[in-house]
Amino acid sequence: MTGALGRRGGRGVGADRGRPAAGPAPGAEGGARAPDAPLLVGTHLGHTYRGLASPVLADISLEVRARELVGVTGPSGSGKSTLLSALGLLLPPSAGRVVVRGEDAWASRSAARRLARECFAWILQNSACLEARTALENVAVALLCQGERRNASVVQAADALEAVGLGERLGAVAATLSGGEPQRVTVARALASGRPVVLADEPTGQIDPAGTDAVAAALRSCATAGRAVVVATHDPRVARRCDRVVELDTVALGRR
Amino acid sequence: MTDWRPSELVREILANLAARPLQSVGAALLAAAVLVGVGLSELSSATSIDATAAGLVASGSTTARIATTTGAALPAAACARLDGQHGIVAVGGIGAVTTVAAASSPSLGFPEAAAVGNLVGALSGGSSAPPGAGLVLSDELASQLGVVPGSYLDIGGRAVRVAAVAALGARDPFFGRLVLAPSAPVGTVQACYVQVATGEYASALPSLLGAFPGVSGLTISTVLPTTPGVPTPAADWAGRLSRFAWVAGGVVLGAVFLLASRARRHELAVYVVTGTRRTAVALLRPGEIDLVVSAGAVVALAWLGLFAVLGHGGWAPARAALVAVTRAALLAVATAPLGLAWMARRDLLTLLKERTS
Repeated sequence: MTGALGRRGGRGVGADRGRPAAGPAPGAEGGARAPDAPLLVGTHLGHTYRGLASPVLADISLEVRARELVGVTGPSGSGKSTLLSALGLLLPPSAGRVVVRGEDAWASRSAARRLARECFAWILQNSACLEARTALENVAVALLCQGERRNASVVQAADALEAVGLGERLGAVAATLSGGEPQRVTVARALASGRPVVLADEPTGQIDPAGTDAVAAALRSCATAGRAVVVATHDPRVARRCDRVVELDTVALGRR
Repeated sequence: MTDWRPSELVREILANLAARPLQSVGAALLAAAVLVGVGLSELSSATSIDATAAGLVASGSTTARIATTTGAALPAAACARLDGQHGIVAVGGIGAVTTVAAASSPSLGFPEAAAVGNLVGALSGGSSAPPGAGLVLSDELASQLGVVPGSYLDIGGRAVRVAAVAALGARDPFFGRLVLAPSAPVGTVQACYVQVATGEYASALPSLLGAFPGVSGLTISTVLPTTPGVPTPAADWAGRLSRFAWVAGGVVLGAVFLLASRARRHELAVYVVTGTRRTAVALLRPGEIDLVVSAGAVVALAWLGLFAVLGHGGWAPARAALVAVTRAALLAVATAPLGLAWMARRDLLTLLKERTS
């Protein structure tokens, strides 16, 4: 295998910085699990894409608890998105286990895995918004799809948008939002969804410094609100706000 | 596990349509236009069949063919004598058929026969050319040879004038490519054709039966009832194809909406990544398509209904058109989930990233 891909368990950059006392996260109730038990655990994760000779990800282990903001950094192609996809159960890893709230997700039946996927809220680099719909509607969807009524959803969505500084842009159509606003909408959606784990893949990749700071602050507020947040980023301004940073090393991506 | 409330899912579908008013109205109008096309195709097919049949009936009701079961010839003079009897409009006989070709189109063989009396009139409702005036061609063959009345054809080294072009195949497809050479009523004919006025067939029948005394195995058959509204094989095929216009319309609409779903795949992926189950996503886009097609179908049905009833064929062909439109709309609606099937084959992150490409 070419190169050691990543460091086992990651590097505890700033591990003792800004980490609040652990407490139960919304939606994190897990039966007999200890209050501080990790919500999400990836153990010895590895992945090799079909057609590639070398793995993109090898032997990465990671634990994330409620109220934690964990950064995943590394150069382009180091496997940050692959790691998030594996942790978020979008991609079955070639090696290792993903445990969500105490359940080994890939050893479970598909129905249980679908249930486990409902723990995750995603924030993506290219602002996954419904472009013809307003910011308010974009956030409300996260509640409507959980069986909420529209009126209640709209109220909670407005609160979430207020929390990320978009209180004045509730009625703006997503396609007209600028800078970091679309990303902040997706952060608000993650906040409003109540899902215990937020996975953010390069959420500041295409926005200006001011927007980056706003998104980073919003991610911080997600963690403060009780969620576990994992953010893949190469932006030091975002990494600085993390409780811990897992750094992935150079990879052999692209060698066939 | 939780999911959308059904009422909220319906409101979401409506909200998505309302969020793109121009596209939604445009799609409904497109659906209406395609469905109107389907309906008009069906309407014209039904109307033309009715019009042809009505035209033939109006021009002489029934054409009877008198021949023998043995294939024996009939006296030409006896055939010609039927002309002028009660209820008979036109009479003519057909002589022996030979295959000839024009020098201008040597590969195009066509049958030529002597036409006794007013055979052209009995077949097409028109008047016959007098003996020696030249040939009478069917309109189909005249078109193929590129001739008009007054043209000359070189047939076997003899220059023959085209005296007339007539719709000979209107009654019997056999005559569709025939050349008739009008001749005097002498000798024999293979069959005698008699055009009988509307409603007079029964009363004329004794005259027909008694016109050929001494001929055994005489048969009289009516031509019109055996080929109602199907003047030529080509028209028959065209009619058959037009009956499947609803399939073409439904497939076209389905393909258009399939492409539209492809353009919206990022949005559908957003729903999934936000937490909407794929089963609910599978209802969102088809739900939009169903509403758009339904709106278009309502417009098309209303327009076609009015068009048909207000003097374009009446209720009977309109009903056939409405059935065709409904079938096309249902076919388009049934193909809507295919767009989702296409999307389901792609992984979520790829679909989300495609927006920026």
